[in-house]
Amino acid sequence: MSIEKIVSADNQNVSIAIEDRFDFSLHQKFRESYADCDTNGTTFTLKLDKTSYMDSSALGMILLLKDHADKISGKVIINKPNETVNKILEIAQFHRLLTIEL
Amino acid sequence: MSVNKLLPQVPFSTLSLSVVGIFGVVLALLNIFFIEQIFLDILLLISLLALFALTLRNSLLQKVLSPESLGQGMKTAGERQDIGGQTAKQVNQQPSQQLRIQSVLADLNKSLSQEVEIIGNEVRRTSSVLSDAISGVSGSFKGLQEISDEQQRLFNEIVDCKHDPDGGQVNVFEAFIDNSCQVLDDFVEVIVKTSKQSLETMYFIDEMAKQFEQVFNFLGQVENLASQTNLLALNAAIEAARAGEAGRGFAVVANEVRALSLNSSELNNNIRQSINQVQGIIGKLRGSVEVIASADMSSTLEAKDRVKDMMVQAESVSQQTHDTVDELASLSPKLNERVSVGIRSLQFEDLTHQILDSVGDNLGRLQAIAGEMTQVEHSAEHNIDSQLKKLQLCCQQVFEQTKSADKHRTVEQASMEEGAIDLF
Repeated sequence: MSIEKIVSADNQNVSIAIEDRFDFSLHQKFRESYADCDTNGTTFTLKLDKTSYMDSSALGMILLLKDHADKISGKVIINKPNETVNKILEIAQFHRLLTIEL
Repeated sequence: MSVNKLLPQVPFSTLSLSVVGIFGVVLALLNIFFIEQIFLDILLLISLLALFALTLRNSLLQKVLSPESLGQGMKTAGERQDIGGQTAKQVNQQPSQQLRIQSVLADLNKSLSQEVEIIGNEVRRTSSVLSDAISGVSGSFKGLQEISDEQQRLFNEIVDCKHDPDGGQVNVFEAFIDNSCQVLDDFVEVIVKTSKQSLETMYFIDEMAKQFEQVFNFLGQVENLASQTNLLALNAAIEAARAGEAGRGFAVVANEVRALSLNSSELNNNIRQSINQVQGIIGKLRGSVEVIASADMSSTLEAKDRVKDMMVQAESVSQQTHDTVDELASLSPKLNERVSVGIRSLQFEDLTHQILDSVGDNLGRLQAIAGEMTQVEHSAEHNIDSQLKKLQLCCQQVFEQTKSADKHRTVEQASMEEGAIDLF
């Protein structure tokens, strides 16, 4: 259960990688990882290739991230979710809201 | 010499035999094509009876009229070696011979007439049985055709119903599954929205907790102030005591200030306690919000999969039903076709009636020969030769008539397959 954040030199690309479980326990760290990124047009890439589990609070967190990105005219990309996680994203119809890279 | 003139009667018998034989074969064939038609069995039985009768008659005639064998010279009819023991040399005994021939002819006539009458009756009976049976069968075919039409109509209704987007049970089922899918999607949306709102609430709670931390800081400072005030008040009291009488009033003030600082310390403690309680409540609030925000999605995932399976199943059931109904619908025209063939095949009634009429004609000719025989029998004329000649002539005429009638018949009795007339 950890969050790793990489910000590009120009502050335009923020990569947030989540390992293992993506659930409520991460809510504070997750918020902290993007709250101070307010460069206009920032692209947030959520790396889920090492995420094994995701509950509804993770979906809520992603939606809040999207709200934040919308506020600074940025966008959110979900990168390589595994099959189970992708199914949950599909059920929540996230593919209509965000870009999901498989 | 006169006996030899009778020989042409033998071909007549052979002809009758062959006519009845052919009739028998035709019936046997019909019997094969129309199994379970009892009247055909009856007809076959009759023809066999007639065959038997004619064979009997033929052998009688041969015994009575023909020479015993080739190369043995002339032997008179009716003069059987084993019965009479007479030889060819007794030809001259005309009157007794005439009587014999007349008597044999009378016997022949009798049995011939009897057979003709029986066969005639049987033919009429067969004809009526045939008519009854045919009307029954055609009625049954008609009913079958009506049922088949009704069946076709019902199938068409089902097919139409299935093609109608608003109707049909399967469509209702599909709509139900669609609805379930929609409800599930809405449910997931609500869950996700709730989680988002809960997280926002959580962030507010975190903010609030931070603010409370700040309040604690302030409280600490206030406490510090109170203790300094207390200390100052204590110092003031000491200085007042040192001043003696002059400082008495000041000592009172210093005590009051000290009391105030103690009161403020107590108040501070009260506030700290209350805020501690609030922080405990905030902790519980966090727990509640976490429960609200964290819904496990795996059960929803399974539900979604189940609905998807049901969808696939419903589709396959629908397709299967559709295919079966189509197949059933395509059976009806085939059934109709078979019924039509059956109805068409009932034309054999006409053919059979023709055959029976023809048999009637043959019987008529047999009767004519019988009549001629009666004349010979009752003739007062003593010359048996001329009588027999007349009989022979009659037989030859009948032979020719039958021959030409048979040709005609062969043309008429074309195969039933050629006629494609629908009787209804």
